[in-house]
Formats: sequence, C-alpha cells, structure tokens
Amino acid sequence: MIMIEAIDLSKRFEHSSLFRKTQPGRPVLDRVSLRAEDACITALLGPNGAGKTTFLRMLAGLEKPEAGSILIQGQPAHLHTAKFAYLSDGCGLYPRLTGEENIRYFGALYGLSDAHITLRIQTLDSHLGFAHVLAKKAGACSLGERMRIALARALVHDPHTLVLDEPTNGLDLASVRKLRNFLRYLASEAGGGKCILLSTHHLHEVEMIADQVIVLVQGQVKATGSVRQITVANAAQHFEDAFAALAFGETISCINVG
Amino acid sequence: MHQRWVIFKKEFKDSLRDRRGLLTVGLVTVLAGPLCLLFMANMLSEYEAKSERRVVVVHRLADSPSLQNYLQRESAQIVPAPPDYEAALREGRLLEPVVIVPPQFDQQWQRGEVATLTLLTNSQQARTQASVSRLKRWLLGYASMQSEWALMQQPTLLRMHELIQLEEQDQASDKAQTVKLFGMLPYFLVFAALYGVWSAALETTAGEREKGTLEALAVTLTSPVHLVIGKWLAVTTLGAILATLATLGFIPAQAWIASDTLKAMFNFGSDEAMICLCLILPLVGFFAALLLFLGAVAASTRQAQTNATLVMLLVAFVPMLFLTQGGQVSVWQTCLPVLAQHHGIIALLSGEPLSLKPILSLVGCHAILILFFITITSRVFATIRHH
Repeated sequence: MIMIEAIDLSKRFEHSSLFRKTQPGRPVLDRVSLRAEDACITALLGPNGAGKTTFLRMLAGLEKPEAGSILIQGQPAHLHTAKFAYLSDGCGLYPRLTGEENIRYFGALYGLSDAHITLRIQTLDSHLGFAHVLAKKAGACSLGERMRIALARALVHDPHTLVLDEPTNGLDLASVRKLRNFLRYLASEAGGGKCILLSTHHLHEVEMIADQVIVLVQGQVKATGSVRQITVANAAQHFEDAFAALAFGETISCINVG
Repeated sequence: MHQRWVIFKKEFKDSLRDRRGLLTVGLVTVLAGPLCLLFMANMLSEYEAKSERRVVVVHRLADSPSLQNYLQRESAQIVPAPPDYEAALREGRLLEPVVIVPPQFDQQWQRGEVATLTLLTNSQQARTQASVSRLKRWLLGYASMQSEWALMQQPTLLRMHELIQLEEQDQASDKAQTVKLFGMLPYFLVFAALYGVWSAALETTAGEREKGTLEALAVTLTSPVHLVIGKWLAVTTLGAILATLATLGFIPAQAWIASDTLKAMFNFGSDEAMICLCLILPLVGFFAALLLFLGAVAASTRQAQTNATLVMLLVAFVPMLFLTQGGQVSVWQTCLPVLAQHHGIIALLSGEPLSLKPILSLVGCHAILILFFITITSRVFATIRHH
C-alpha cells in the first residue's frame, strides 16, 4: 500500500538582503513526484545539494512547497502527524537533559503515560542498545550516542511512517548494523510493516537495506527502483557506477586487480 | 493542560540545570542591589561623619590670631597644612579643604584694606566637599564678625554684603530625602526583573531554534499556544524567584548600613517588600512574554540578544526621560511597564499612600500586554510547521 505520495513538489529558496531586491534562487526541488510504500524501506539517494533534506523537511511540514502536494495514505499529511516520525540530521536534543529525559519529554507530549514510555524505552533499547546513555546528559554523549537517543525519541510513540535524514551519521559499524537490523524489523510484519523513508550518502548502506531507491539529482528524480533495477537500467556492473552516471554524468569503470 | 504542565516542568528543570548561567544571573540580580545599597549608604555615612568632624586645615595661621581665636571658640580642631598642600589636595592625599591666610592678614583688614582668605578645595574629590559647606559658614561668620568690629572702630568701612547672611532651608520631607538618597532602588528591581528572565527566555526560543529542538517539537502534536504558555510559565517562575530574592535581599542588607540616620530613613520592611513584589512580579511576566517573542522572531541567539539589548536600553532611558520632567504623574504612566514600577516604588519610599486601585490597573495593563505577546509568539511558532 502506498503510504507517502509526493506529487509535483517544487521549491526554490530566495536570496534576499537588506539593501537588495529579493531574487529567486535556483530550484531546489523541481516537480518531484515519488512514492514510498508500507512495509518497505525507501532510500533517497543523491549528491550534496540534491534537495534530499529539503524534501524530507517538506514531508515533516518544516518547509512549505511552492507547488505540489503531499499525501499520506491518500490523505493530506497533517492528518497523520500522530503516526509520523521525523529525525533531522542534527538530532535536536536538549543537551542539559539526560537521554532518558529527552525521550520521556517527547513521550509525554504525545500523551503517553509514564508506564507506557518506560515500556517503549525498554523495547527500543533492546534493538538500538542505548541503556548506558540513558542517565548521561545529551550534551556529554558522542555523536553516535546522540543519534541513537534521537532515534528512540522519534520512535517513542510507535509511529507508522518514519522519515529519517542521514540516520547512520556518526554511527560506528556495530551501531550501523544494529540500526539496519532494527529498521528491517520495523518494516517487517512483526515490526508493524512500517513505511520507512531515509536519506543517505552511503551507497553500501543503500545496497544492504533499501527495498526501493530514489535517486535525486539537482532537485529532480533521476531514477526509481530497486538497487538491481537501477544498476541494470544504466547498463552498469555495480550500483556505484550507475549512481555516478546518474548523479555526475560520468562512467566509472571497474578496476580489475590481478 | 497536560501539555502545558509537561512543557513547564521540562523548561524549568532545563533552566535550573544551567548552573553557570543561573549563578551569573543570580549574582547580578540578587546581590547587586543590596550590595550597591550598602556601598552607597556607607559612602553617605562616611560623608555624614566627615561633615560632623570639626577639623580645619590652615596654612599660615600665625598671620591671623583673630581667625585662630574664632575657630577655637567654634571648637574646631586646627591642623596646620602640610608644606605641599596644593599637590596633596590635587592627588587626593589630603581630604580636607585648606584655608590659606595671606601674610599679615590681621594687620591688613585692621588697616581697612581688603584682605582675602582663600579656601582651597578639589571638586574632583567628592570627599573634600563634605567639609566645605561647614567651613564656608564659619568663614562667613568670621568675616561678618570682624567687619562689625572694624565698623565699630571705623564706621566708614561698612560693606553691606558682609553683613548679609544667607540661610538655606530644605523644604523636602525626610522620606523625600530618602528617595533622593535611595532613588536607584527601582532601577535595581526593574533590572532584576529583566535579567532574571533574559537568559532563560532567549535560550528557550532562539537557542532551541539553533539546536533544532524547536523543529523536533513542531513535528509533534504540541499546540503552539501550549508550547508558548508552558515556556512562559517556566521563564516567569524562574524570574519571579530571582526578583523575589532581589527584593527581599534589601531587608537584611539594611542591617549593615553604618549610619543610624540613613537606616531610619531607608526603613524597608516586609510590608514595603510585599508592595514592591506586587509591582515587580507583573513586570517579570511582561518581560518574559516580550523576550520570548523577541527570541522567537530572531534567526539566531545572537540576533535575539541584539533585539533584547534594545529592550535594555529602553528600560534604562525611558524612566530617565519621564522621571526628570517632574510634575504631576499621568494615569498611563502608572500602568505602563517599567514607568509604573518606578513611580510605584518611589511613591512607596516617599511614604505616599499606595491604594489597591493603581496596583490593580498596573496588573491589568501588564496582563493585557502578556496575553498580546503570548498570542503573537504562538503565531510565530505556528509558522514553523506548515501543514
């Protein structure tokens, strides 16, 4: 079932200063249309400045599109806020509060009881492994620890739609593997068949986790499909070659060693 | 209600965790006022004590036995001036004015010639000024007496101005004198109200925008109105605690005022403190709402601080503008934030009766302004999320 549907989304940022007339900048998103389905991990892939973060922020309602619309389960996005989670690349934690306090604060804002929040923290900890940082102030945590706390905070209300901006940023290999397994679990039937849309730079990560890939270049969707479909469609041997051809218009040939 | 309470608890806890900021704000708001009061009161006591001392420093007294007799009759303690008295007075080593007697002073005026006594002071040294008026009075008395004596000897020497005495009388009440002496008290309390909420209000709006937590909150179902009310309650509570401590701090501080006269004049007890709090606490709420708005519209903490500095300038200069004009106080001046507190506290220190009506109109006016700023800040927060 289609969970997220973006139709012809467009956005350009304006350049303005105190003494100069406001001037329109180049389009950050140019009539972007895409779909992300339930029980599926969709990866948004693109070079720097492709418009990935702007697109995800639009889904979260933090940027206003100039044109186009966003539907979640066929309805306007604002009707699904309670079932929606957004994790920004900056984590956005309160540095003077502990990890647990950060999670509990958002849980309480979602109207969850203390007992329910405790249960959710235990469940999320069993998948993400952040028990050792629960009593630590967020400002004293490493980037990886902060990312895990921020992820737990975003998921405390058990949302159905997850929009994650660079969730593997700053995570070590063990944490990345844990996160990968957790996202797989969430997308599975046992985990509730959630719709997960994430952005990343790591091609390896995409190959390992994504059911569907959307390649975004200069604000336009260049390719949609599975890793294999995109690789084959671009007549490439590896997904990296296909991505380089789509993103930079170049062909990176394989280096055969030996 | 639940969301507002959750936000209030988190914001208040977060503000209390900022130990360094809290310590700085606490020191500035709670201790600065009472410490300055003590400093000024003790300086005034010293001034008062100095003016009561009857020391007269004279250069070349041997040339005027008549002046020596006069000063002794006034029970003055005569001290010869040091050889470098000019430099000593200039450099602040000598804190008493010096009377300079010209050579053969007595013979000069006895012959009917104009003889001039010079009173050497240093107006840059405030401490030398304490004895000047008393000494001037003595010297005028001496000149007048000697003139009368000379008149009896030679009637043609009469000079009218030497027989004229100028008497100065201060019509101000003791309480008005208190206002003159302790007029800085409203400033301290108004600034305590401002500083108490400053950091917390900007941190919870512009600071959160920079950290990205405001956007994380916007994605939740939290209503912008609840968010602003929760934040305002937390900031106001913190500011109210600090402003209360700052106000109550004046009560124990007066025990250390050295002069009994000044202590009796100040007379800031629990009743005065309660009335002061009735005037100051609405201002704390107003400043909290205003700074939340300024923090919410700013793109960064630095911009928010720049905006808030304008508030500080207004708080410092507007009272000066209106209070120096004197005359009748308009009704609007007793309602508007800052001006109302200045007028109220000055009236309180002057011993004027302060009825319930002006306090209620002050609270009402502040409540309207608080509601206004909470509403527009909620609208600013509502624009963070577009759908």
